[in-house]
Parts: sequence; C-alpha cells; structure tokens
Amino acid sequence: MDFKKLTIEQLRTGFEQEGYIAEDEIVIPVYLALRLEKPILITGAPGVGKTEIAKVLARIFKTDLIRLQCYEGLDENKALYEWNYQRQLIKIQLIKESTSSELIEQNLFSPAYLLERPLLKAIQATRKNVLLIDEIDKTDEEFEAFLFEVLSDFQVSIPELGTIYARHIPIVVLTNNGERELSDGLKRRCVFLYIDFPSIEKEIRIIKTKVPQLEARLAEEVAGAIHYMRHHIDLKKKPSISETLDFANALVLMGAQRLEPEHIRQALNLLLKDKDDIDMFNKEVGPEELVEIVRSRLKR
Amino acid sequence: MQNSFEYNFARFVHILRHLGIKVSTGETITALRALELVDLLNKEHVKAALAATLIKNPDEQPIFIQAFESFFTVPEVKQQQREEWEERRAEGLRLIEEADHDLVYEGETLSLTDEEKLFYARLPEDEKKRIKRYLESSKLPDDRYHSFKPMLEYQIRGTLRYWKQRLGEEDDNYYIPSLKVDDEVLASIIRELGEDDSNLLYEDMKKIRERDLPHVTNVLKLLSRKLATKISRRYRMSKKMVKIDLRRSIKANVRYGGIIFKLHYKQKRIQKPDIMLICDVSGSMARYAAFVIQFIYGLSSVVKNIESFIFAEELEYVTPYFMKIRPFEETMMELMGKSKIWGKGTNFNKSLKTLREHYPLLLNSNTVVIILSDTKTLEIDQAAQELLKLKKSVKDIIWLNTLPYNEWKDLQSVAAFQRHCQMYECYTLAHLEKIIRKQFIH
Repeated sequence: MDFKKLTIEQLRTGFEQEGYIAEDEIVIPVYLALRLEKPILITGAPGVGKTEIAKVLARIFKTDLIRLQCYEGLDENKALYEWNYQRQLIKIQLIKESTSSELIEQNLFSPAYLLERPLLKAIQATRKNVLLIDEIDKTDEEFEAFLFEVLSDFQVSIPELGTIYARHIPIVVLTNNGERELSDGLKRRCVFLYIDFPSIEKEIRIIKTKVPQLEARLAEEVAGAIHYMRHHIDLKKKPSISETLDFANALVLMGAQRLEPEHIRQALNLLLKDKDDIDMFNKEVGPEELVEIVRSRLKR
Repeated sequence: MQNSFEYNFARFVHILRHLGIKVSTGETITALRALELVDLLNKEHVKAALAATLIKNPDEQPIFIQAFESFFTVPEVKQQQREEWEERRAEGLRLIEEADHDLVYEGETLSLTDEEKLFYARLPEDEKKRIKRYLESSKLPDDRYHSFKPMLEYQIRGTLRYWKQRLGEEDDNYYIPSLKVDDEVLASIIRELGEDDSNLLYEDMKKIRERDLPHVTNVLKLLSRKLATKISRRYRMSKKMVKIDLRRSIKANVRYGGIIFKLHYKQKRIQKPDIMLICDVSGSMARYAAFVIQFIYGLSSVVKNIESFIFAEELEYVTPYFMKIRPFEETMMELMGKSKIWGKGTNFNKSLKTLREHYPLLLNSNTVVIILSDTKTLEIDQAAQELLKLKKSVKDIIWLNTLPYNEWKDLQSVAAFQRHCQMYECYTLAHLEKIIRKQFIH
C-alpha cells in the first residue's frame, strides 16, 4: 500500500473492518505516525488495547508483525543480533585442518552465522512490516538509548559486516504501561497516543463487536457495571477491556439474558484478579447492589 | 504578522512552554508537518494532531486541552479574555501604585518586589496603618537613613511574609498572574486551571479541600504503587557489559569436552536502597506531612525496608504504626492521637541528634534519607552540623522543601541545609511525583 496516499477515512475503515473501535483521538495519531514515518508511543493502563493496535495495523496492511517483548535486562544481543557462537565453534572444529585461518575468519562472520533478532529482522525485511516493541518501560535506560538511535535512523552497524540500512522503514509501535518515566529523547522521536479506559458507549460498541452473541441489553448492563467498578471502587487493578470481553463471553456461556447478582458472583474472578480487590468489591458494593445501581442508571 | 498561521502556532507553543510542558523545536516542526496532513477546519482533528505531536505525558493532557480550548476559541471569547486581563492588570498596577504611595521612608519608596507590594495592598486596613505608622516613626535624627533603609525593607518584608503565612496564602495568586503573565490567553488558562478540580496535582497540598481527599488518596496510591514496582522489581541476568564468569563457564562446558560452548557471565548485584523518611509535623507542616505519610504508607504495604520518623520539637519513631494492616485513616488517627509532638514547634537539631544517638543501626551506606520540611527551625547552624554528620553516615539525603523555590533565597536555613543534601521544591503532588520519578523510578 502507498502510505503517501493513505487517508484518515481509509485508516478508520481499516480499524472498523478489523473490529477495533477507534475514534478520532486514536485514528489521527496512528495516521500521523504512518504518514510522518515516525514510531508511535502508546501509553495507557494495561488492557486498554495498546498492543492490539499493532496487531490490527499488521492485519490492515496485510504484513508481518514482528514483536519485541521488553523486560529488565533486555540487551542488544536479544533485540538486534547475535553471532551464532555454537555454530561458529562447530565450523572451526570441522575445517580447522583443511582451510587457512584467514578464510575461516572471513567465513565465520558472514550472514549465515548471524542470528537475527526482532529489530534486525524488521530492518532487513523485504517489505514494510509492523514492529511492536511491547512494554518499553520495562527495559533499562541504556537499552532505551540504544533503541532511540536505531529508531531515528533505521540503520544498525555490525562491526564485522558494516552498516545495514532499512530496506523499508517499519511501522513501529511502542507500548508503555507507565511503570517508569521514559527519556525525553525517546518521547521526542515518537508520535504520542494516550489511551484511557473507554466511555460506556464505546465499551458497549466494543462488546457488541467482539461478542455479538450477547443480548444488546445485557451488553449495556455489562458496560455499565464495569464502568461503575472502574470509577467508584478503589481497586488496585481496574478491569481492562479484555477482561470485560472475557466476562461477556462467560455470560454467553452461562446463557444469561439479563445481568443477575449470581452471574457477577460466578464470574467475578474474570474481572478482578486480586484478592484484596475482590474483598473490596464485596465490602463496598457487592453483586446485588451493583446490579441494582446499573439497572437504575439504565432506566434514567 | 500577528494573524499569520506561523505566528499563532509559535505563540501556542510558547504558551505550552510557559505552562511547564517541554516542547522542543523538533517537536514543533513535527507538529507543523502533522497539521499539513489533517483538515485544518476540523477542530477535533487539529486538537488530536497537536496532542499527538506536542504532548508526551498523560499528566500534561488536561493542561494541553485547557490551553487548546482557550487559544483556539471564537473571537468574542478572545476579546473577553483580553478585556478581563487588561482589567486585572490595571487593578494590579493601581494597587502597586497605592503601595508605593504608602511604603515610603524619608520621601523614598521602599524597594520591594511587585509581588510584595501587591500583598501589602491586600492586607487588612489596620495592619496597613500599623506599617505606615511604623515607617513614619522610624525617623533618624541625622542622615543615616540611607544605611537604615535596607534594614527597614528587610523588616517590612518579614512582616509581609508573616501575614502571607497567617492568611494561609489563600488567594494571593489572584493579582499576581495578571502582572507576571504577559499574555491574556495564558492568564485565562492559568485561571481556568486553578478552578479545575482535575488539577489537584498542581495545587498546593496545604490548600487541597476535604472533598478532594479521596481523589488525592487515589493519586498517592498510584504513585506509591509505581515506586513500589520499581523498588521490588527483580533484576535478570544480562549478557551485556559484564565479565565472563570463567569458573561457571568451565564447569558448565565440561560436558562438551572442555570446549567453551556456553558462556556464563558475572552478574552485577543491584542493591535496593533502605528508605528512611523523616517528616516535619510541626504546626505549619502538619498538612503536608499527612500527604507524604499517606504516600509512604502506600509504599510500606509493598516494600518492607522503610523506616519512618516524625519530628517537631523532638523525634518520634513511627514505623510500628505502619506495620499493622488496616485502613490509612485509622493509622493516622492513632498516630496523631498518640504523638506528643504533632503540631508543635520545630527543633531539627535536637531531632537529628536523637536520630544519631538512638538509632545508629538504621543509618548505613545503603540508606537514602528523605526529609520533608520547610527548613524553618531553631538552632539552624547546629542543625546544619547534624545534617552534615548524617550525610556522612548514609548514602544520600533528599530534602523535600514545601516552600516555593522563589522564597528559598530569603531563608538562611535553606542555604545552610542545602549544602548537605539534594533539596527539591515540593508543595504539590506534581512535585512529589516528579521527584519520586526522577530519584527512584526513571
């Protein structure tokens, strides 16, 4: 696809067709990132659909998704490339008596012995792909500095092979849960997108799209209940959109027509994953009162 | 020129910078390129494009939205903003003139800042009269008044500071922005932000209202959880920039006939700091202390190695209060009820001495001491000496000063303590968050 001719409408349609409910505040930053060929940094609470954007983009543009999952201690070897040390050793053992040492060295540092890691894979790909750098806030600052060097020039230097330039600048999606402050340098190089928990209306649309078997009325009740839990109960971990969908799917399996206290009791573990949160919910509201609140709000 | 697109855009960026949002030139250029790609007549598209390119932190979003709505508004509202601003400015200038007229010594106006003059103009009439009378009666028989004038100015400044504190600094910002801020849109945004409940982060902790406390509690919980995640995070093995562990490598490769097939690396041991909080709970500080203690309370439920003290006239060890698992309100009630020093005067020297003499085991090279205080104490020099002694026995001292930075220069105590610690301005939750991020989370 020619990205220079991409329009906001086309992108919005693409998101819709892939089942991702996105409004202007999501579509426009993504559109700008694509047109300006800049990485997009997506911030928000876990489970609001940050990673999903990368997956959806890969589907919209029918391309590969290359994922780099970040963690503390992640380094260039795991992210960029590594020489296949074991294979090199075997080769040395096999040919050490028959070939000259110079030739061995030349052969050993050829692309055949290079283990490509996600970043190099994305740069060397023969077509534009989506590079997802997930949970960037979990890496160390050193790695972050290294990363923004790669992301600004889209080229890497391998001492033994020289500089490798990107054949196609990948669509880079970075996600951030906000566990630590990212450096200004990295933030400056990215287009920024903050995704908050959805409004009730948007969540109803999400439920209806992802769990079409659920009754419309029940979808409204579920969205109302989740919204209330997120905003009125002091939870350590608020239910995410994916947890809402798990809960909705569970209601389908239970054959529910309306939201009943019993359903909440049975499937509460799908929404709240912390014992303190479950205790807090039962102490502050409880299933009966929650159903009552949701119904009275819907009547209004 | 003033109506050109570039001029207005640059002015908007300038306003954002004034509001504390860091916008680089590169980001400005990216934002301009982004605007070329969206429909300029669609306000929502422009807003989303500018937010995506100029804002890089969720906390800045409310400020950005307020700035955008005030800046890109209809001409009638802009006109109103300008009129209001000019009105306030004129009022401010009138008050300064009034103060200039009153604050005279031997026919010469005292050299005070505009802020001080504005504050004088807002004092109760009786107090103004008292100051005027004092100035009139301070006449010297000869021409020594030139050397006496700075002393008099110093005294008046002290009186104004006293009143400022006494009046609780409740609405002293009312006049100041109109003079300090040279832009009507900026003045309007600052006013709107001040009225907006969602900006508790930027409000002086002392002024946070009762009804906002639950929200503040949530913010503090989130903050302490972030810090706790960072502190308690385990560190994994890294293959980068570390030395090869020959012993382990040889041992692991015996099975390959001695060929070093698998390398093992030496791991850098990362020690988590022991945190010690020393919180000033004297009269002027009690409100701030309640917030910071709440923050530490959140932290102590996850991280174990935190020691907490409160001080005023003396030092009290309060860690045991936080050991029990129970609601924060209960903990605070017990703490305030049992404490003998809560709300009393301040003697930092005595408190630090007690810490050094009675709790030496808690002070080691891995301890990071966080002090929360406005530095106002008796025995400043001795306290500074004690602070120096403390500095030598711990890893680091971070001082959260609840006084605004522009007041630091007036206080001898700040200069004395600042030499021996890292001191940060910390009177809003935003300050607290920033320091925590900078010191521990980054």
